Amino acid sequence: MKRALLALCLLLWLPGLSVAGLDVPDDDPDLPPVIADTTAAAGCTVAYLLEDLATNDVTVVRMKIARDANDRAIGDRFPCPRDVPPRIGTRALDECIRRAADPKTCVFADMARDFEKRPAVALTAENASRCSSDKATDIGLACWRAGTFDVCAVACGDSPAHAEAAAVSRCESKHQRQCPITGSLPVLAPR
Amino acid sequence: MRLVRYVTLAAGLALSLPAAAETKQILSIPPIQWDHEMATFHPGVVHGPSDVANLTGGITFGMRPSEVDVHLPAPAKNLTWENLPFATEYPEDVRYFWTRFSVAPPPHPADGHCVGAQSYVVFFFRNAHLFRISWRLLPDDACPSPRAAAEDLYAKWLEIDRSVALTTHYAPNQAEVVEATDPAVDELVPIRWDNRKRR
Repeated sequence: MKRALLALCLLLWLPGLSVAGLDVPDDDPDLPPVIADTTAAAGCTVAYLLEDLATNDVTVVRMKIARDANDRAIGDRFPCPRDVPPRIGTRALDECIRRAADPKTCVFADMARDFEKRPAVALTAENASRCSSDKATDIGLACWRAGTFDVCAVACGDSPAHAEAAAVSRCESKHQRQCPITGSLPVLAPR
Repeated sequence: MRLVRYVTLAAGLALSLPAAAETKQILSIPPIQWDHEMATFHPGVVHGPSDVANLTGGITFGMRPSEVDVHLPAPAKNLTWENLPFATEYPEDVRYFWTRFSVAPPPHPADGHCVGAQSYVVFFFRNAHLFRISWRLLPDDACPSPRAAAEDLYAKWLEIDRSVALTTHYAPNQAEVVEATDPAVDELVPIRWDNRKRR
């Protein structure tokens, strides 16, 4: 009898033999909820600027590109693919076209010289109308008004001011005009 | 040679005269997520009817006229599909009612952005269900251009993915129009308002 009692005590004392579930603490209402890691490195985003010439609206279209398992962050950013295929730009243009009254009025926002004389998407540059998040923090725009719409140039920078200044420089050198209409946005979408 | 000199001089002059600086608003749409090979994509943010309701104060696509009516600041009462007028610009049985902009439900443009007093909002129904809301912002002497208000409204609607609300902005003959359409009514999406009365 004594031996049986001793064995039972030993059994109750042994760690790890408690019934599953009893060790799980109740939810503590004072504990904070799970918080997203806002310090995690940002994935690749390629931002395009597009203009609807009919309304003079400029829109940023952000394309987030999933990273490869082998990609490693550099600083707080993951790298973007070396080559961005034209279909990404075409898809960005589609975002303007789907919302425009006339699809022909949608163009990339970096425009060639004399664009105002022949306003068409063929005189705009897809690759110069985008910025990648691994190379720049901001995408900038500088324009001059050609009647009812703005003729613009796009540039990338490490701050809003830098992106806008670079766009002004590109716009003035390309169009040989002052480009006093400016704007910028972060390349990354707000978290 | 002289011509080249004049052209160069003119270009230099154009660059040297000061021009008024202006900030351009850049509109944002929700991001698009691509796979690593950049072959397929999907909306980067998932939106639903509740996002539309949050923006409009409770109105969502698919509501019946009476259900929309109760969300208006000044309900008309007794609004039914049967007693709505026909919207003849559409190729099928589409009906509507409208309300003045001053008593329209949200969203509203930010303070300081004017619209003409005759501006109004139209609600369009097909098969008795709401599929489009159209803000028609008109100019008048007190507000020669409602463009800033239209841009502000447009920016607010653009925050919702177009799989839930397809938003357009166009400017027919001095008016500014912002329209949010249920993307499910595919064939009716391209139909626009023509501001013919003002021509």
